[in-house]
Amino acid sequence: MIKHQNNLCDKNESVVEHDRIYRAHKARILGLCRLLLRDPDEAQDVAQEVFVRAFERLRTQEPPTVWEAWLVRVAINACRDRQRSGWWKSRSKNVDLEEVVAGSVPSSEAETLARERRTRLWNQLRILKAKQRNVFVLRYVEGWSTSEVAEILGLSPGSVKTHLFRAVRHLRKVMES
Amino acid sequence: MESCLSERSLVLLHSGDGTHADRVHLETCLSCARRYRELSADLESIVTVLKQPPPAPTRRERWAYPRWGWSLAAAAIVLAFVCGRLTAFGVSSPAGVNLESADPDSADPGDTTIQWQEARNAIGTPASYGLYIDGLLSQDEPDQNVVASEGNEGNGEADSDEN
Repeated sequence: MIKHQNNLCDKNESVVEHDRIYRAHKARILGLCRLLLRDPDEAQDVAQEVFVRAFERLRTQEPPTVWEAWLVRVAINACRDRQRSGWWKSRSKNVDLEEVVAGSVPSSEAETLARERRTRLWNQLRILKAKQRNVFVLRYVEGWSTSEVAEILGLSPGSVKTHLFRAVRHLRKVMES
Repeated sequence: MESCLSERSLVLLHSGDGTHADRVHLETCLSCARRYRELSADLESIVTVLKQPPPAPTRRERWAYPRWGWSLAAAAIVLAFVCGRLTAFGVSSPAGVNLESADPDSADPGDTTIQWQEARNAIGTPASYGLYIDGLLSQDEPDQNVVASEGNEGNGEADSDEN
């Protein structure tokens, strides 16, 4: 009886802890998945998957020392798995992003241009090859070092540099146009 | 004079992976310094945009034409192969008739005509284009024999008249 009560307490603690982790890191993990995957719905699915794994980890194993780093790594690996799977490739649809203008409030020319540029940039990020996109996001948006990026993506540092350069060149062309 | 840095070298310098020589050149070359500043500004604005939430998606599902094209082509090839096999089976044994035995070049022309006639009757409705062609050929053979025999008869009569 006492053992059963202890289990219930543990489960409740796990749920509370998981809820805290979810609230603290949801936005970051979802944002990362959106950057790494083309389809926003896919990003949502993968982010959910990451937190399910976090819950399993919480229940079965010792929790990691830094949850954020653990979640980011799991998210990157999950996104890579999704990118590799044939099912995802065959399902990869052309999802165009389009700024939804709230209401019919007229905006200034500068705002319109900024909005167009933002939309174009996001669309171009999605067009990038998976490796180029992953490297660019991890290197510049996430601020990882070249060696860290190479390690998690299973690439050589030279390859990371090449992918990074190609991604930068492509995105800069979009900015100039 | 040292040549200016490539865009790749500038990107590597910006990400902290450039060589010492490139860094020294960057400090001394005004043109490269200006290009480096432009690159930094571009990357800063790109990262700023990407750190914001993405615009709302409008999903436009299009058929993946190349993939569907290949699939359809493969399906057509398989279908053609299967049809070809079925046709081959149909030709080899239509109702147990052995067409090879009905050789039109056999010694006895009368027997040949009968055999081809039997074969044609046995086949009945042709199961394939190949059989249809065979049927036409078998129909032509007796006609030619008839024409040949009629010609011979005519010649015989003419000879007899002359005699």
